Amino acid sequence: MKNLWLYLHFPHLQLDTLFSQDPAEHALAILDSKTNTVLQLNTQAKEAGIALHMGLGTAAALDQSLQVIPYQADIERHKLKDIAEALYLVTCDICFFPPNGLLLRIHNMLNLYAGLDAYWQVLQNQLATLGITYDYATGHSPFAARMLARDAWNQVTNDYSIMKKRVGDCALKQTELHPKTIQKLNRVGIHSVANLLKLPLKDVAKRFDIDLVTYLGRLTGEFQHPMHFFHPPDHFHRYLELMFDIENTQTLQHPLKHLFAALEQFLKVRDLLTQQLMLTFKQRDKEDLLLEIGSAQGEYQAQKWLTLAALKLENLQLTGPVCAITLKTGETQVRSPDKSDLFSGKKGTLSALQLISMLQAKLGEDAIQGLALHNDFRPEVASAYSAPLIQSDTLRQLQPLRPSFLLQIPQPLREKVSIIHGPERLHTGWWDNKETTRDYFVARSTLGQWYWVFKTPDTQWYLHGIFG
Amino acid sequence: MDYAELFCQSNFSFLCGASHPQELVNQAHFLGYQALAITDECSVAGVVRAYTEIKEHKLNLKLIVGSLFQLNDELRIVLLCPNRQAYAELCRIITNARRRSPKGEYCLQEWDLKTARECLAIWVPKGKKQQDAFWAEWLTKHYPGRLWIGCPRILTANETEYLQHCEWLSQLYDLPITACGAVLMHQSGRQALQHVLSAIKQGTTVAKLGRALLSNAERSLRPINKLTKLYKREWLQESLNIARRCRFDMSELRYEYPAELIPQGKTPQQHLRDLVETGIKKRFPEGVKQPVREIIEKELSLIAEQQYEYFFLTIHDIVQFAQQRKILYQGRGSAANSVVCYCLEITAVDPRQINVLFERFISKERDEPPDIDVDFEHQRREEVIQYIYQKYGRERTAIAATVSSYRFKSALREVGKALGINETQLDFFIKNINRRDSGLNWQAQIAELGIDPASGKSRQFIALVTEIMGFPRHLSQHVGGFIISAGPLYQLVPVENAAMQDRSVIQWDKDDLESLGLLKVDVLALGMLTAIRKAFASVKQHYQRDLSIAQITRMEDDPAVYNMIQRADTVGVFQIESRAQMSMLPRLKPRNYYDLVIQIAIVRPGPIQGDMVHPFLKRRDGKEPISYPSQEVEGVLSRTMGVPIFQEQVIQLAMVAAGFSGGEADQLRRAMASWKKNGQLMQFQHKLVNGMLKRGYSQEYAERIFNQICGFGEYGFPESHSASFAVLAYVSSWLKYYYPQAFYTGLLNSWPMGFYPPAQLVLDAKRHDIEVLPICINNSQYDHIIEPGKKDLAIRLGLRMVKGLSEEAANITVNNRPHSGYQNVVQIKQLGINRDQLEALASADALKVLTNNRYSARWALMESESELPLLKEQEQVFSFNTKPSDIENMLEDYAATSLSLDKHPIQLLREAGLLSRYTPANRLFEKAHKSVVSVVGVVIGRQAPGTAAGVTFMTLEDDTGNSNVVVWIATARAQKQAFLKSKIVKVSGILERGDGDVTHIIAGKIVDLSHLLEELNTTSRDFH
Repeated sequence: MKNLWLYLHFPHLQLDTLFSQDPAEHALAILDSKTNTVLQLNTQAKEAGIALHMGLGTAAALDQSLQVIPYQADIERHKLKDIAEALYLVTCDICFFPPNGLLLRIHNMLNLYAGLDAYWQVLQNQLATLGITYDYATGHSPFAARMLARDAWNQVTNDYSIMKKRVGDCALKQTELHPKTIQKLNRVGIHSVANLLKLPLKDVAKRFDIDLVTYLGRLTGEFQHPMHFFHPPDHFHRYLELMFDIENTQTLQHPLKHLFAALEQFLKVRDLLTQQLMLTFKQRDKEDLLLEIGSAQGEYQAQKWLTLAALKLENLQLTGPVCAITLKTGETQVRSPDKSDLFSGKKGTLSALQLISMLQAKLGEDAIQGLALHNDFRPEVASAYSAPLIQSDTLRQLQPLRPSFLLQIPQPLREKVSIIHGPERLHTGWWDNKETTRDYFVARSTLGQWYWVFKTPDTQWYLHGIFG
Repeated sequence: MDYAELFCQSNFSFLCGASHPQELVNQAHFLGYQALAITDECSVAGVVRAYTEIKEHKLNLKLIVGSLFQLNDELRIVLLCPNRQAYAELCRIITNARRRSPKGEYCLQEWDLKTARECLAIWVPKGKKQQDAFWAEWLTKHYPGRLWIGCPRILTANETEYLQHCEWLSQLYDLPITACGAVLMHQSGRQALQHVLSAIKQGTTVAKLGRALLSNAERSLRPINKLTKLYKREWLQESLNIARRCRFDMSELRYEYPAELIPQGKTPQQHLRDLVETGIKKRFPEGVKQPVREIIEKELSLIAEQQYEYFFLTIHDIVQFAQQRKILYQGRGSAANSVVCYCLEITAVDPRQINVLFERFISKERDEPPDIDVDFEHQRREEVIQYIYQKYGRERTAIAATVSSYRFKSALREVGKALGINETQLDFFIKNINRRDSGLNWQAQIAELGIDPASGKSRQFIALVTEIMGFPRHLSQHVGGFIISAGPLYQLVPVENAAMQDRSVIQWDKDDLESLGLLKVDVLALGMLTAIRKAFASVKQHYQRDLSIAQITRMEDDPAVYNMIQRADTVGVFQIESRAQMSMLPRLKPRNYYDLVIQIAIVRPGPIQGDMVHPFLKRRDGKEPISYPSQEVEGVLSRTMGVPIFQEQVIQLAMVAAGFSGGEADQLRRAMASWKKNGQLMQFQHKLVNGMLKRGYSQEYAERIFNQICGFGEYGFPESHSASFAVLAYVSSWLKYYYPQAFYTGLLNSWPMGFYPPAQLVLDAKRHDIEVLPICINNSQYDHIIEPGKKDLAIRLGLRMVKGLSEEAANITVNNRPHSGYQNVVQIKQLGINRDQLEALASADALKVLTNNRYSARWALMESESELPLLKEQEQVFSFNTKPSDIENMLEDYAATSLSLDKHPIQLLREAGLLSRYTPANRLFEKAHKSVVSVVGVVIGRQAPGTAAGVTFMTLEDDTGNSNVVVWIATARAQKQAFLKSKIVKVSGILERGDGDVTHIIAGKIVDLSHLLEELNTTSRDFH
């Protein structure tokens, strides 16, 4: 059987991945932040005259309301994996062409599906569930399929003469050849693949390095093109970037639904359950927020998880707008009757994380907090409650003399003290609206206690801490 | 109690100090300090500004010169200068520490500190017992009797311990303690800015710096009553004791000129006079007339009075060298247009032609130093610089610095980053704020772009950006200002490394030098001089005629040449070749040299913004009466019909009409030069307007003059420079008219320079019916040459046009060329030039004589096998039959050489039937004023001149010529896509014909036709 390949090209994968309830109302572009050029754009942007590879300056001049998002290859790589997993349900040999392409070997699937049309239909249906724009093409070699798909040929055929003709029409620019090689060929009037293939291979070899010859061999299918095929992962791990920051836990449920549906799909095909889900909410300019959801008996259904999550979300206090969500599974187990052994092994060995989430579930989120040092002069900021389990770095050594007991709210000083050291003047914090202007002193009370007191610019005295 | 602040850093401790030196001295004076030491880190770059400020405002404050040094993070020491020797010592230490390190850094060694024999030292201990004990011992050994412990009380945590530590050191080593403030700000309000500067320095945000920031605003100049509470009385007293010992004053600095310029036994005056007399014989062979002789005497006596002989002699020496080496040069500047300079051959401006200029020679009243810049051929200026280095030695020569300051864009970006604003957003702000929009300031525009002006953070952002603008960022190298001294320069001013290898710069810029009365010699590069020299050489070779600039200017004004200029046939001519200049030529109709001087100065943003062009034109054409508000004003403005056009006139106006003294006028001149940077000009508004009102001028007239000054500030052009430029403009026009072949080859061989790329120069030559021959392997040299053509001499394009071909490779092909020329491709392959370069030759169609198909020539050269010795002799047979079409040939021409001698793209498009009806550029004259026309062309220029009206000029080129399109801002906005992106456009609009038949098309509809020739590789000069 002759080889047949199908290539799927996702021209704006990151754009499609951005979660949005409604399609964007204004122009949107994804930008390569190194070169400041447009990589992907939506229809509104196209209508404004913005084109691919346009500089940010020109693009912004064309549409004042253009929203710009930096390109992140990671997002596309994640998404490509998700797509591969979804397609793996219906087709077997999948290769990655990161960041935005998948190559399928399909000639070995055609018997199963009784022909190309039926196979393509199934594949299309599967793709439709993902809601992602794609271009596609079949080809007689991997490179051929890739080139045609990237050219948005969007045809599926097993007529090799059509594919070959079409490949021949392609410009050299569209090949994977090094731009320098292409330029050299252009400069002798060779612009299309057909032009190039017409030249005697021996003459070509005398003028170019082996890469060109290898490429041509692979393109025509005369040479083998080794491929690494995809194997599905064992753990579920998915990252979802939100189109808009979400500040309200209610609204979070909507993107979660999508994530849980994907999870259900993942677990169902593997016949697995999981007892624990780890959600990470990425908050803009704030620490990540972790949320664990447990289900003692193990669960796979999206609806169930959503209910559990809804309960948890009620107690969740967002400290900043959420811009992305990651969902991971903990341990998974084969879905089988639960026969846990009452007498087996360790009990009550909770990880710190589990303990905290349990306490939080019982007492409410706010009840559990950790203490951490922050790099700041202002005592209120330097020593503050924070989300539990946040590691404090080595700031401790840098601290000057500070009392062990710091009053949460400074108290007016009501007793007579004698000043021992000082003043230490703090006048800082203009940038975050917590400006502090105080003179701190180490003082001693009549009873011999060591106090940390301060004076405000209007000479009010306060007690702020007591040395131990 | 009195106090002297001895440890104070200005913003010349880059990204650390948060106040200008001027602010510091003013504040110190206000607080009643006795003295202030400016002690920037390993630098004295800010000192002159402090000195000038004190002098100008007659402040009762002693300025002490000093510098802070850090050694290995262990030792922090301030050295102060009690006397001139100590100052020389300090400069030497700074120079040594700086010269060891790359630009902007320094590396101090123990040895440096040991060599200080005069400097006083204030040691600021680090607070580490063992380490400080070591240094206490070391310092007491090397600084006996001139060492103090400096103890800053700045109310940080654990300060009590630090004070105890200092007292312990003081007792143990018997060292006096002095109070000092480690000052970084002139007042506490600068704290936020200081935080931002620290964040910029560390490349992070203010919030992330945390405890690395200053914890309070105490490192500012504080009131004395506060200091008396913080410091012991003795400590404050000690600061005064130290200050008293510092007697060095910047005014002691004297520039000593290199003595070797004067022959033994002669005085400078005599020598200068002798040289002038020799020059007179050369310049006035027929004898000098009485009036000129009188001027010479007047000038010489003025030079003697001001003791400027050495300055003239130094420049004379440099131009003598240039003359020997046959390097073309031309002096300009106020002093350059003197008869003395003409006689010293510094300039070639014949005084009899332009005697109107002489009264404005060095002006004593204006109290400004003489200004002579000398332009040299741009490709050979390095020879002159090397001569200076070699003659005076590197120790005695360095280049003046230029202080790079924060401008709007850099300020916005860096402050934004320090405040944690996303960079993409900052980019967006910068790209979309139009600083030329005079209706809306940037603060308002940034609000429109989506910053909430009411929020605290935005207010801080805007305030900090405003504050940081004008702050110095680093020192860089002045374009060509040399300072040459008698002794080692590092005893006068520290010298540090420049970014360019083997160049060193001093720590002062040209204003600082001026303030101290030190003179610099400007050695500048000018492309046009290279072009003129090359054209002269061609004229000599092909017409056997010797030419020089002086000779051409000495001839009478040539009506034929001016006629050409009036037609705006000035592509390639110096200065008057830009779009704006060309559109003014037919209206201004220059008829003589002085008209050219005006022409060059008037088409500048200054006069345009100040609305001076139209009044001048109207008065010139007699459409508006010429009137003067007073006799004094008439004296200043009569030569320009009552309209101030030159910078000098504005200064003179301030003196005669507003009563400015010479010194004040000089300050005004400097403020004008830098007002964009720091806005100092505004302080003169009140004085100027009031002064004029007092002298009976109307409010309206006074305001107008002030606005004109503001316009000048940015782009004003002095008459003294314009006068020299006009000479070159005339000489290049003269060459263009009489020896066009030599003119164009001169220009093309000097490229890059000037306004037009080679393609347009060649096109212009062709339009003047000059035959241009293609690049040819058997006929071309590296440079463009003149050779006999069909009728007349023709221009043969040189191999230098071939992109990707090095000069070396080009010379190999020329030098190895057989007598009968190359016969086949194999011969060329055997030259040993690498294949990429050979292929470039093929693509440029230089091998056309060998094979009439550049594709197959290149294909043949690409093959590697026949380089093997055995196959060398075989002529390869190849089955390669791709042939370029006309369009492909044209595209290849552009790709390989940036120009095509064959068909113009527009012609190809027309012949291919791709264009609908349009009017070719050379038929536009047939169309009536106000008629509707369409033009098609390659966009070769988009220019947004600094006028407030909001127009952009587009220049379109077709095969018959250029057409000028004016795009109003509204049209440009509505048709952004076509306007911004296109390479080939069709513009439909209204034809307008103004004075002097200047034709414009006011764009209505712009259609982008770029897709017709996607790959056309023409580059257009964009206005970004």
